Amino acid sequence: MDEDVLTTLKILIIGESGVGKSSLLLRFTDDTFDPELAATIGVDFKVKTISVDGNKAKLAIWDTAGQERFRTLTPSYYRGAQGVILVYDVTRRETFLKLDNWLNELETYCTRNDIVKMLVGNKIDKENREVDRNEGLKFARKHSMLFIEASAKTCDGVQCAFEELVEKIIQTPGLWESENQNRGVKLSNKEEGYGGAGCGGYCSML
Amino acid sequence: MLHDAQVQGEVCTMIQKKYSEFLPSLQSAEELAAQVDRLCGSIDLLRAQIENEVQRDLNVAIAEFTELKQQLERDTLILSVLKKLQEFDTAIKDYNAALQEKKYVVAAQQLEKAQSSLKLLESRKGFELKILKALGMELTVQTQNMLYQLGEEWQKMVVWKLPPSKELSSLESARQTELHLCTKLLKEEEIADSPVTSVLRAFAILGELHTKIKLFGQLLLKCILKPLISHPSLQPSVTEQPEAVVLRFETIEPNSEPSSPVEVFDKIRLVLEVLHIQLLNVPVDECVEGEKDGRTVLAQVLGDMIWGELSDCLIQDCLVYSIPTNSNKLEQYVEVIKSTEEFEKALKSMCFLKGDATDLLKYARNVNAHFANKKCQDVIVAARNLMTSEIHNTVKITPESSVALPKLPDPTAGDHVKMQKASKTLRNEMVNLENETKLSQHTFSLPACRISVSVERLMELAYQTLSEATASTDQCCIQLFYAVRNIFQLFYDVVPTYHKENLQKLPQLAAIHHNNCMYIAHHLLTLGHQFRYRLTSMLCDGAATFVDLVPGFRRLGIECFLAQMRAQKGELLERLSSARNFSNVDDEENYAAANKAIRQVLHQLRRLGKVWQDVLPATVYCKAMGTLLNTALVEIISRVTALEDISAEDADRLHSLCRTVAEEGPRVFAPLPEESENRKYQEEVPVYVHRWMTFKQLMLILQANLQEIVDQWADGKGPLAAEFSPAEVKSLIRALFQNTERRAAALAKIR
Repeated sequence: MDEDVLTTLKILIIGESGVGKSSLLLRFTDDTFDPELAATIGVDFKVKTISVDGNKAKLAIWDTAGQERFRTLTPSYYRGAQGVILVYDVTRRETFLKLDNWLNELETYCTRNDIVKMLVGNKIDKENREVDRNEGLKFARKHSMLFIEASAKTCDGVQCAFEELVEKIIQTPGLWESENQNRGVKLSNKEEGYGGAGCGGYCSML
Repeated sequence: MLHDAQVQGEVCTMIQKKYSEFLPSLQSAEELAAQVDRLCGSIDLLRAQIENEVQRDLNVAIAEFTELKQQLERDTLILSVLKKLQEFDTAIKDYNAALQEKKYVVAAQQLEKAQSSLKLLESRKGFELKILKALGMELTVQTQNMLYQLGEEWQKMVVWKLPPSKELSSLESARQTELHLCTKLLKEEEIADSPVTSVLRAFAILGELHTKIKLFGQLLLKCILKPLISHPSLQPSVTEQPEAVVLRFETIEPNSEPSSPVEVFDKIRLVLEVLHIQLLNVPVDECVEGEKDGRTVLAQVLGDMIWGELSDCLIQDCLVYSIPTNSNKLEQYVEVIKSTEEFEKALKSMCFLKGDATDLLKYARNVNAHFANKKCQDVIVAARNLMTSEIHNTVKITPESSVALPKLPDPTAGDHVKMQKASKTLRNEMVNLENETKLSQHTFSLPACRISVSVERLMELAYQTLSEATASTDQCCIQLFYAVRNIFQLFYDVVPTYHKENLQKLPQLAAIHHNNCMYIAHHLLTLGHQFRYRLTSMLCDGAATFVDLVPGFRRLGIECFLAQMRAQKGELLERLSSARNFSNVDDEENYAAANKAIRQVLHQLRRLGKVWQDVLPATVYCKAMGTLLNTALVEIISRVTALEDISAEDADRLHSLCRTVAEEGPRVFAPLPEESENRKYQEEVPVYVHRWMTFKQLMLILQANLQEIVDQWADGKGPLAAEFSPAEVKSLIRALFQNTERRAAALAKIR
């Protein structure tokens, strides 16, 4: 069953504590939602195969703990990551304000420069929004990130967030092929075309 | 021929003539010669006769002369002896007469004369007269007799009333002591002729004065002066009776504190003044009278004898106690110095003390040095007592408690407030500048932990001593400052040695000692700065610091605790070594051994977690427990990954053993006494236990199917790949799964 998988991609989910990183992952991998989900301790890991544009990719998703006290563990998880999902809670402005710190950490520990970043504003099902969509979009654009607003509870935007991210990774030359070369998988030249089209694209759900 | 005949005739006549002439003369000459010979013989005879006779007479004369000479000598000698004997006799007679009239000085002088006569007589060799022995005896008897009489007189003049008990120094017996002086010496002019003078001078002449005065001096010291020094409640009182002056003690309300030097000086002065008037002002040598300066007064003799001991006693029992223990009392000590000076002056005016003696004053003037010495000694002794007291009596230190400095005196406290204000305004400015990066008020505080009560006291002692140093003179300040440094150096040497065994044996003590060292190091960081501008200028340019001691103290604490950690680690590994490598745990016996080893490890960790609870700072606690748990996990992981064959039942049992560790392990993390507060730390076990995730992955492998393992590996991007090498995972797969195609496929994906 793994035979037709193009590649395995390492995806990291980061963001402040309680913004819904684990909920997004559970919605994506198991299609479940638990409003009382306990805080992640250390790190969680899920595997899911996803099909984007006919290419099958296996995602090794690392769901990190947002709490400050587990931060000493996270640096090692960044190693080899190809995509990162940066999550904030649209109803808690401070989680948005802390994004700079997370980008800083990402830059510090990430082993490659061309890692694809997806900014997710979670919990849009809630009434008391504190961060406007445009603010998120503006922040994402400023830092060359993909952007989407989502709700793990209502399923809004979750699937899309992962798909967009994977699509962008696959479009990025040199991000995933090199390590597959020794497996004998020959890569076509078609990525080059993607590369031209996809550059600078800010994914928007709407 | 004629001629010949002629000649012959001539010759013949000649010859005849010659012979006729010659022969008679020859005859007469021969006669004469014979006469001479005869005469010579008679002369010789006569001479021999004369010589014989004169020689005999001469010998006789010489013998006679010698005899006469010897006789003369003998007579002269006898005459001189007789003269001496007469002198002796006269002396004895005069002495007796004088003694009868109680003219002791004269009597003594006569005795001395007799003595010298006798000595002269005795000095002649080979001239032993029986009478000399008798005379000698007589002289001794007379001397003793006189001494006895003098003694009687002396005892009449100086009457001691001593308590019966032998314990002379006690307060009770001192109260019964009295000294009566019946000397009636009041006016200057009378002194020379007074009985006491004659008695004392007679003593002096007889060479007994020193013995006598020594005895008197000893009694005076023992029964009057020393009690006065050591019993503050004693008060000397002088009463004048018609015949005598009586010196006795009165007791005022008992006072447990040593009396002040001023009081003691006054008392002793009073006693000596009375003695001086009554007794001590007496001249004791025979030299020119009326010339006061040249005379030796009794006081001088007495002073020479007892001053050494008296001054020692005054210093030891009075001045030493009067040295203040607190620097703010030091200024009042001027009074004591002044009274000491006066005291010595008074004694000098009484001739009790020689002009150049200033023992007491020197001591008193040196009060600063004595104060510093005393203080330093007290401080070091107190510090050492604290260091050798039990480590396990602890007190909880929190950031709040360490902010409050132990009782600093007012000026210091004032400065402290100022400093706080300054830092507060500084903080406010910082807040204005940069709102977000506000430091916690406890940022540089020591984390909450337990330290020994003794160490907290030690630190207080250091602060107190330093704040006293700030109020002291330069010399004293330096001495006190170095005393404080010595405290810490002493700690560095004493504590690890004195408590060596306990620190090795008891993990809790090792932890407390670690905290103690960190606590001290923490204070040493700022201790110098806090006092920097208040210590003497000599210490100001950088010398007044303790920062140099900080690394040593940290090392001291760390080394001790690390040694304990190594010991605990060794113990853990030893327990795990009895687990038979975790191989074939499907065998009941092997399983029991492995299970027991695991339980022992958990028990040891739990015990450590308990004794370190609330003692170590939470972070240090978690690091220590994490390191130890990690040691156990690494050992288990390496044993299990080395297994070549793991049956399904083995895997189940290994998993259950690991689950025990994974469930119980975090529970040993209990740094705080409140159980509910420890959950946080138990959740953070992955942070403190380096190989926790590896262990979890191992557990996962033990229960997973091939697909799950491959998923966790995730092309080298999953957590399994983060914890194990491909070779390790492959080896585990081969041990766990039978050789099938599926296994081969899975193995192919691990790379």
